[in-house]
Amino acid sequence: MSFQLNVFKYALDSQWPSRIMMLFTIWVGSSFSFLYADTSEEVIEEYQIKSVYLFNFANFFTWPASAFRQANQPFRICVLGQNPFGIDLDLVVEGEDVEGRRVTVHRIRTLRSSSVCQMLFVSQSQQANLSRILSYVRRYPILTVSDIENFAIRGGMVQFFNSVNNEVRFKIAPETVRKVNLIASANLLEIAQIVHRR
Amino acid sequence: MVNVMMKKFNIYFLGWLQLFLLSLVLVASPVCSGAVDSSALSAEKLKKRAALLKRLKKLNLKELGTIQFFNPEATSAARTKRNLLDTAGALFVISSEDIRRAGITSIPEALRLAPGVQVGRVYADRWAISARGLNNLNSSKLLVMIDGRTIYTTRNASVHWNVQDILIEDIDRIEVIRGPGASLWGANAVNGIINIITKKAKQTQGNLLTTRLGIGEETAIVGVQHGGEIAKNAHYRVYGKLYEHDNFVDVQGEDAEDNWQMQRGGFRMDWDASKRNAFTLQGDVYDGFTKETKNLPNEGAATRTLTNDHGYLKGFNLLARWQHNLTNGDIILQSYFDWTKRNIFLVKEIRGTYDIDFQHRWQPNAQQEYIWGLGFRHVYDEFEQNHHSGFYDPLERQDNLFSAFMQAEFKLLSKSSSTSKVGSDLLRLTLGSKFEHNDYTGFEYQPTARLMWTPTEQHSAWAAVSRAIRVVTRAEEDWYEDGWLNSDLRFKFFGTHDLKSEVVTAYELGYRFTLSNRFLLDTSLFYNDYDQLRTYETRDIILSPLPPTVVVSSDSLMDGETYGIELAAQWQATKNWRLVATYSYMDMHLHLLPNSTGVISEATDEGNTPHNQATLRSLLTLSPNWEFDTALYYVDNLPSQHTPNYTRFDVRLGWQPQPDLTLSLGAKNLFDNQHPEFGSGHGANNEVPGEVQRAFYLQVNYQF
Repeated sequence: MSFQLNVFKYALDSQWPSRIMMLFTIWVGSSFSFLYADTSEEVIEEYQIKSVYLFNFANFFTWPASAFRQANQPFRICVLGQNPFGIDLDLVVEGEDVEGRRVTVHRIRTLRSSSVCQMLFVSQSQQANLSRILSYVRRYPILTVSDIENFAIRGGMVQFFNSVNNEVRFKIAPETVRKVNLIASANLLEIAQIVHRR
Repeated sequence: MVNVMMKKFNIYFLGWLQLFLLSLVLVASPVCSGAVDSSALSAEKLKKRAALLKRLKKLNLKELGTIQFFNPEATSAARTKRNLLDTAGALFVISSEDIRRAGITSIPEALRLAPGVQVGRVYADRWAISARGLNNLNSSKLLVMIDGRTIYTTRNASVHWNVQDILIEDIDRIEVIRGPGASLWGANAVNGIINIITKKAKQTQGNLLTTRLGIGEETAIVGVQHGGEIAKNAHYRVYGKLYEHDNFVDVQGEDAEDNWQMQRGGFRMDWDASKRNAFTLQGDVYDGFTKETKNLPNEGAATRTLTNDHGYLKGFNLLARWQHNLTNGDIILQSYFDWTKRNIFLVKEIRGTYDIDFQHRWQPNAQQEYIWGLGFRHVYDEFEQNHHSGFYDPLERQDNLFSAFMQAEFKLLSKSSSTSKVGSDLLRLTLGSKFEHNDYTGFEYQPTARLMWTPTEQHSAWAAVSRAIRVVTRAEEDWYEDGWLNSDLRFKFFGTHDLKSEVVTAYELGYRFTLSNRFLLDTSLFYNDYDQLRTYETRDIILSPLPPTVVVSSDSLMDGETYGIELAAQWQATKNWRLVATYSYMDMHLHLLPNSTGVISEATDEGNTPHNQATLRSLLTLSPNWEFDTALYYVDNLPSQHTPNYTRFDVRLGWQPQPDLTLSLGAKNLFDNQHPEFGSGHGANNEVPGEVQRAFYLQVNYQF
């Protein structure tokens, strides 16, 4: 650091064309010193946080027995529409189980294939089809999650939203959850913003 | 008057209609879909991601809700929203949080937070502000916008900062770009662009009462705001604000009698009519007075009299914007009208600006992006002479500006990472140019070439070469002034009609380094080559009648170079403690051409810009309810202004006793009684500047 200060002092004293060269050298030098700095800390992305939330929800809701047709059926998390998670959701559930059931991730293209899911994440790409999707899954014990705006008001169950500080929070519509015989844990409801549909 | 107004509205309306029709054609034009690039992650990256997710999984739900994800966004540099790390330009974003915690109450003062920007207060209501040098009381090379409305005056290309205000709580962010951005934004974006972006109406729902009482700077600021919902997806806010500023002091510590006051009100409405269409309508009105002491020449005598007088300022603006989202791009059509009336020392001025701006962004595939646009601006003004010493000829004038721009962006190389959103392309080239025709200098072109290199998610570097111009202004062409330089020398100044625009060719380099959202370093290096800089030339010396008269007029007989380095670092030291530091160094070398008889030497202009500037801010959250923030500003001396260097120390204590109530107690310039920031300028100047003193304030914000 003191070396750089000395160089800087020299830069200020010398004539201006060489000063430019000097400033350039300092700039390149300081830039490269950061290239070798510790880069072990990764960037946390929005959908990495959301994928962890999804997995957590599996533990904070209770599904009715009717949700599973077979005893060893896996717990299925489905993503409808364009997948915003990349590989992160798969990484999160890898090797995990919920109440003895293996957790699996499915990317589904058609609404009909959602009937076997326990949790359905509706991607933002499906915004235009939202009403149709929600009225279809209403018949099944499926936890619906999305980050589409007004999702909970429009009949969804859990809606992600971002705080002004770029934190991911969520809202829950408890009445919608109850209608399909899902039970949300009290701990979850305490943290969530509660939405009542009128 | 009404008739004239109607005629002007007709011109305006026709322009709007044509562009509207054009945009319809564009909406109908076919757009093809882009390919999604998908490639595998390397095994090492995968391991890292899995490890990070594992750490996140260990958190309970409450903790998970406090994890910040990485998302610094900016629109100005590229005219479209984009990550800060992804911008091939010297960008610095001042957030609403930065403004609040630095205890800042006005737009010009907020600019101190950015590196490479020179801010000097001259009076309580006037600032000398520039970026990368060539600063002066009427510095002319910044393009400043509020929500896309250009706010520098076409009279002399400077900004009347005292009328440019809004409710400070409504500012979402201020994007400060040093260096030219003219290829997209047009003339005057020579040394920098300042884009003030306000919050959407949806973000300011409910009621807000904000009160600030103080001494030294603002004596009182009272703001009231109401935000509500008109219909589903349609929100509005209305606000009113009273702003009262205290006197500065003169060198002896006596009142400089430059206190001022502004009342203003405004609204904003946002309507997201559908997924594809969004409308915004917004406007403000203001009215107020300023007081300044001037050293004005007496008629027919070699004497000057110190005069303290009121200036009366009022105006309004109205802006409408329509955004239409296409399958792979969007169209924005925006139009505004801005009217201002200034009754100040030498002249009374009315100025109206109609502007219509259209842009189309088109992304045919993941490798290419095109933006192009058209613009039309009509400016009219009317002057009345207030003082015998100066006037405009002609007193009324109308000018038109036609502009077009296009920019293409190509991803030259892509990386093999599909999931990361930051810097997924390795090398990106941007080429573009603005073309415009104005009534002062005719046709102008302003091209740029930018290269962005993102080798890893942590590092990015960019380089740019751009040409930008500062168009000749009304004052340079049409201003006449008569006076006495001293007791035995008169001067006569007259405007010149064949002036050329000031030109810069800028060479820039930048580098950014980031460690998640914990640490960010942003550095840039610039070399600006200026041509045809404004000079004041001696044309003639008339010996009789005595005393002799020097005849002066403006010309473009100076060139020069500026160069420097700018650093900005942000460090989230702990969860509750953030540090922000900036440093900039720059130097200027100006040269009058051999045929110049300039009355102002190169050294005078060179000595108006500090070599070194630095800031260090600490934002400490003591507990969920208490904040303690400090800021240190250092500015080097200005030899031409006889202003010594100064260090300013600000401190603020914030308390939130309940969620809807926040209190701030603060001091500015705590360790100094008073200091000048910008002096009296050139020798024959009329200005009598004031000095900044120690200030204290108490602010209470109540939401209900």
